[in-house]
Amino acid sequence: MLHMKVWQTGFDPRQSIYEQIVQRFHRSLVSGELSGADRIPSIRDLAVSLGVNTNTIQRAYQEMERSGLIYSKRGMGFFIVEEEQVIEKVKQEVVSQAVVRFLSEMRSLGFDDAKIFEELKNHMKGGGDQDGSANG
Amino acid sequence: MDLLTVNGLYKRYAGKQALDGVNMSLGSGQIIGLLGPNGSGKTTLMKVIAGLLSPDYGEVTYPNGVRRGVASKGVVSFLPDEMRFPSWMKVSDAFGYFKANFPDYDEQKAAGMIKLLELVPDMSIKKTSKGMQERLALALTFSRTASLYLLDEPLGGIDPVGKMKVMQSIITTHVENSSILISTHLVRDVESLLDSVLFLRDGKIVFSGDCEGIRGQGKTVEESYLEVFAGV
Amino acid sequence: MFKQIYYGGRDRLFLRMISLITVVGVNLFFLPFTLGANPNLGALITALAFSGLALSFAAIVNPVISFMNIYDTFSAPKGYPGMLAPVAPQKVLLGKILPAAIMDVAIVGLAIACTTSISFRLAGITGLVGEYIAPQYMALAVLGALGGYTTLLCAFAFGMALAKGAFFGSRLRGLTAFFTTLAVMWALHWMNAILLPFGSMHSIWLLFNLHIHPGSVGAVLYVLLFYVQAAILFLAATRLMERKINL
Repeated sequence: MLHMKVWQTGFDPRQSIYEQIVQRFHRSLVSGELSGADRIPSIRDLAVSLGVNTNTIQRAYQEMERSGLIYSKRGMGFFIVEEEQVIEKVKQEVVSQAVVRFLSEMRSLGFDDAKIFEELKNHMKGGGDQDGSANG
Repeated sequence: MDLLTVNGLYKRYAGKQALDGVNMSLGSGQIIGLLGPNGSGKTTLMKVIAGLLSPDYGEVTYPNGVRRGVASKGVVSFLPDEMRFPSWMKVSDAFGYFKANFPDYDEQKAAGMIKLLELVPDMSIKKTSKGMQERLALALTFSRTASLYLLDEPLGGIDPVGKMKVMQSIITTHVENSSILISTHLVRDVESLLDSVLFLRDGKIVFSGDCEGIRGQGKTVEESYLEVFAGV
Repeated sequence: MFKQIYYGGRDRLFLRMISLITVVGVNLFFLPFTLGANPNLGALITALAFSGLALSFAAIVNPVISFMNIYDTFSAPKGYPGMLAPVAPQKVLLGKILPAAIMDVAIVGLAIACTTSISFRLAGITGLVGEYIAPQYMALAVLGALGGYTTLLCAFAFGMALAKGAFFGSRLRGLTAFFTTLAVMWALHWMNAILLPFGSMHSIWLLFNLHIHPGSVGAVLYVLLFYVQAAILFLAATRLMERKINL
């Protein structure tokens, strides 16, 4: 089930809150907190538990509906869609954005690809070339 | 359709020009922040809208052609700085008083607020803490089904847990056909609650904007406030 | 109006109840001594003394409570939640003060009626004031006293309204109200004397040995005048209050 009971904290006040909420839903899909066909909280319930204006939550839900990630069933609430493709796509987005962010940060520090791999190996649990494809 | 419009409001109060030509309008279903330093006229503006003060010039337009005064008190629910209750009253008596005197009082809403704001019905009001008295006043204000709720510094003197409950009560009360105007100088605390903000300085509205719009520009609402008021 | 009575009269209810119980208790206790065709003179005098004490008690406690109620209400009218209600401000102020005042006036009135009837009884028996012991005269005496008391309360309300905004210190406000009250009562006294051409008038207590026959139209008018003046004073007080608090 979705655990979004983070009262107010964790939102960057310099970014649109509704976009951040959408991102949180996306991340929950990646982490497995949320899966296809899961029911998500009502707009009002989420607003109250997050301490965010209902209009903002509504905007986030509208955005997710528009992008085909969620749908609403009359009298029953909002649900994540069941289609695997849609969910996979979203997960991919999140993962690739995270990787791109990481890479761009590392490159801005002056690391080349080889050094980046090295650092990754050092920081991962157990180290070593588990996938055997690392070179150098 | 605007819920409320204020046109050319002027008010001289306690020796100074408290309202110096205020023009504004509020849409329905919104939570609006009225922000400004102490002495900027926030309370005066709210009291005029609430029908507790008369402006020197200008007018206020309410829904359904209701006029400012006794009639407008029926569509506006005001949370003042200080609500004084007779010393004999218990918390439940205060709700009974509201039930008897306000036609738009809603029993269910009241029960919900008592629970959410953790009020103790049997307790004598004069024995409650200041925090509980403020939550009581807020609960009473939200027990009514009004078109416009005016909250004058609802977060003053409340601890973080209390603040969360206050904000939850605001979100809970927020519905499509009514609006909530909150005056505060604690910008950061309420930012995420607000749809839009009005900045009031020396009795004039100097800025009005949509919060997500401000954030979309990479600024916090508080930074926007500091820009306007501290020239930062 | 009932909700106003319920909510307006609960302030300091305990004190009022004590006052009421004292008055009722004392007078009931001495009832056997005061009734009957040939009451014992000594017992009657004792009864009068205690009844008078109960009256003194009520005459101090009840007006003070009423004054305090008026003082509280007029000191901070906007603080009362009733002012937020879609009800005319005059009604709110009236609702806060009237029920309590009515109760206080009733208790004092009861005390006056009891003590007065005992003293009338005594007067009748001792032959002091033969013709003035008819019930209607007694009723007029009581109504007159109450009229004076009511006017006093309303004059105080008027004084509070006058003082509002003039002074920020509560003691100065209270004093102003007090002296205004005295001034108003004094002015009314002379005004009444001029208005009702029945010679110089004093309080209803002195009707026994004055130029006014208690059965005369003048006396009845005089009593009514108290209530009319009280109503005018109170309306003026609430109107003035509304203007001063900027409604």
